[in-house]
Amino acid sequence: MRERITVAARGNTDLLGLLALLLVLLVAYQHYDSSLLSPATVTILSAQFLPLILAAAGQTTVMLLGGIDLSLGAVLGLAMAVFATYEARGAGDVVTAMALALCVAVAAGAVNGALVAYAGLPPIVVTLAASFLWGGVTLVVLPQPGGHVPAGLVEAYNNGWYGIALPAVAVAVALGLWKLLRTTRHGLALYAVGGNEHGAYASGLHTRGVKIGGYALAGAFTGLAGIGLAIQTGSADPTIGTPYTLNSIAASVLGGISFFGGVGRMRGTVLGALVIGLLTNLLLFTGISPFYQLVVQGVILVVALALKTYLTREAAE
Amino acid sequence: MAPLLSVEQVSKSFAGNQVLKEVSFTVEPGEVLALVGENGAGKSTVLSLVTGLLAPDSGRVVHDGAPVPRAWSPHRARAAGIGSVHQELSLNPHQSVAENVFLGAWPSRRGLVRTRDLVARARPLLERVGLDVDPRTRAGRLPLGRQQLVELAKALAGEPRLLILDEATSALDEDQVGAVFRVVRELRDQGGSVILVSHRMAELFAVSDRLTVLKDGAVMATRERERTDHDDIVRLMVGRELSDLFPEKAAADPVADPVAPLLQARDLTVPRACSSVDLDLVPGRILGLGGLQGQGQREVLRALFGLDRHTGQITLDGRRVRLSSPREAIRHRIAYVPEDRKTEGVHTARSVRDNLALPSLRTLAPANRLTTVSRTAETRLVADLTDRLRIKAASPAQEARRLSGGNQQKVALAKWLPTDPRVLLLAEPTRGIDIGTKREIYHLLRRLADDGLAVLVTSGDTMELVGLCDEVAVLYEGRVVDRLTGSALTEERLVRASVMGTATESDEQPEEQADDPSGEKTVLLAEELVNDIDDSDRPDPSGSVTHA
Repeated sequence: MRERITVAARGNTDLLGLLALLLVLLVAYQHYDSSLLSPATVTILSAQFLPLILAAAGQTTVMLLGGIDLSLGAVLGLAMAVFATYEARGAGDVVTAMALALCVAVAAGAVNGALVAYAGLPPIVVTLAASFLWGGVTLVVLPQPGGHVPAGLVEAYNNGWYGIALPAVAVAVALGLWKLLRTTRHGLALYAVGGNEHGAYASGLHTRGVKIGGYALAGAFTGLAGIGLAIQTGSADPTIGTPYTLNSIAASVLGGISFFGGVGRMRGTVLGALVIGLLTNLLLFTGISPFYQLVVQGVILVVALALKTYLTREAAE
Repeated sequence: MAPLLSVEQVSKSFAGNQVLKEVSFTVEPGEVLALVGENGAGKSTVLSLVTGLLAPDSGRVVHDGAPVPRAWSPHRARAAGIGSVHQELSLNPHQSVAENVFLGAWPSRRGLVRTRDLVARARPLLERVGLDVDPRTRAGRLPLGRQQLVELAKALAGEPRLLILDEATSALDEDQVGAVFRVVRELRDQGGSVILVSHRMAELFAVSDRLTVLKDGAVMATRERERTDHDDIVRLMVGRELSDLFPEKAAADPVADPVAPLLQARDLTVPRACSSVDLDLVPGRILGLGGLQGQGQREVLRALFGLDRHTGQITLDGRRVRLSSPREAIRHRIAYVPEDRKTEGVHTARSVRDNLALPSLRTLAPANRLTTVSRTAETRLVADLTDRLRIKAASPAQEARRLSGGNQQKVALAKWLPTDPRVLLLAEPTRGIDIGTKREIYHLLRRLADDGLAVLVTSGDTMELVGLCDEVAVLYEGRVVDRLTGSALTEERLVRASVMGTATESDEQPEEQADDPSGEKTVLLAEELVNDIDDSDRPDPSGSVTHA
């Protein structure tokens, strides 16, 4: 057992700091809410964190390609709106609504990718413009908060289904699929293009196709995040997605994803998202004014990132 | 037998600058062809046409008996059995060696790429290139030389019938070069072909069957290896039209009339770039830094302008100075015209006026004007500079990016003049600009030197260094290996020192050159050179540049 731990630790040295931070947050959390480790709390927390975790996974996919997705929040909102306005009543309906929402999100991602790959536009510009576009489309689909999600689904998602925390399962499945993707040519190509685009092109990779595929995959993650958020809240809100853009970037960066592409791992991003989610909750518990909560959150993020940058620079030299 | 590859009459221009002029050559199966030429002769460009990175403006590339399709690309070239290793690495530093070896063509089973598989398959390839590393190592962790060998293994993974090695040995030590040549010979013995580009003459003669010499984007000659030698090839590489391109050099003889140096660098060392470089910059004189590309020239300049961290002593006027930032250097009246004018030399999105005024803002916007810029003073300054350097702009308000390269370069240089610099550092001052503007810049630099500036120039163009400079220090792997001055400063000597990395003949007196045992041969070769040029219908270069 000890040996296993050392091996695991050695393979994840870049994440040890993040894990330590997470542990500190958990201990503090336990102080305020002693039921933290009970199945009920784990279920509720995972339901609450799933949208951010999946959104961060989408952001990470784009960042690994050396890009950034400023339209993430808008696409998340769009997927949420499409899912909820379908007004699903039965199980079959729910599947159809999910498929629809997912298709819309994947298409939005692919459009972003095509503009980046073929028009040669900088990702930050493309996705900024796209954020207005998809934000507008969302308001057309759903002008005011509303829509409908079957109550049974909301209940099962938030409070467990035969004692199983569905959101946690969903995140585990997503991580497993990502790991599988990484061992396919497509996953390797994603990292190769992000790490050295010209080199990848000169080595015969179809770099444009890889980019479009990557952005589309990011769209899938984002769409799932939107669906998750709709189920968690039981309805849709056309403007609720916005904060996810910056939060997903923060989670990715905390998780060790480089802005320059090609560096970082999904498990880091998941940890980063957990840290941000826990921190937000924890600050609520403290009862300090919401304004100061934001200040504290900002300071903690800056300190964590500065520390991380400093430590990794030391290691590199 | 039909050639495996034939390049037929290809031409290529970049922004009106013709870099290839009807270049033709062939590569037979089972042959090693060396492409030789100075920096900027067009070697890499012509190879990029073969590997599909670029398309020719005219002419065609015939591979395996058929012209390559219009949509030729690196992907198709690789599939067609063309492997290449370029000087500029194409590795992804963040992925493992094994993943890089199979970059873009990862072997998979049922859609999955297994690390164990990848590692096992990479091993024999790495062994073949003489590389003893764990295939799981991240590529970026390896030293440059080993990364270059990974590139070679990667090229071999595609089982090429034509292997292109473009400066693939530039970062390798002797053993590693030996391993590369073993691969080259193996491939040739199995009927494959290799195109080799290297600046190191000895390497070329060690493995090639034929040598094709390029100069200024045109083929000068192709020689069988048995029927040529180093001198012959060097002769073909150098020598160009005589003209009044260059101004007269400084009259003063440094030996008879020593002037105290203005800036002295001793033991100047920039990690991983240059070590223990000693330089004396003398008022009134132009010093050149020569050598092959990337031997530390750039970093010496950057260090003297406070851009690169360095160790060693730098004295200015006999006083020790610390040049830890450009701000510091500018305060000591050192000016720097960088190599890449578009990103460092000028602000392309700003007007000519803004560019020229930028270094002088301190005087144009003094504290007693609440640091607002005096428009009249600025207008006067801009008019003066555009006039003096004959900068051709539609108006001072024109954006710098709309200027021609030559005029951009003039702006990059002109902006420093009002700051009254004492030391002027220039990296590749005439790269990619037309001959007329080159001439103007050469004459301007000489006038500035005559006014008492100490000038330091790096250039990959040997003719430029020989024509312009009073003295040239030759760098090889970060060290000064030769210093050429007076009549010893010739293109041949410079090229020889650059490719050999030693001070050949530099101890001999210039007068003895006539008695040089190789002198007779040189004359013969020169005639041959002229013949070759007549054949190819080019103007008579009548040997190398001479000076009164």
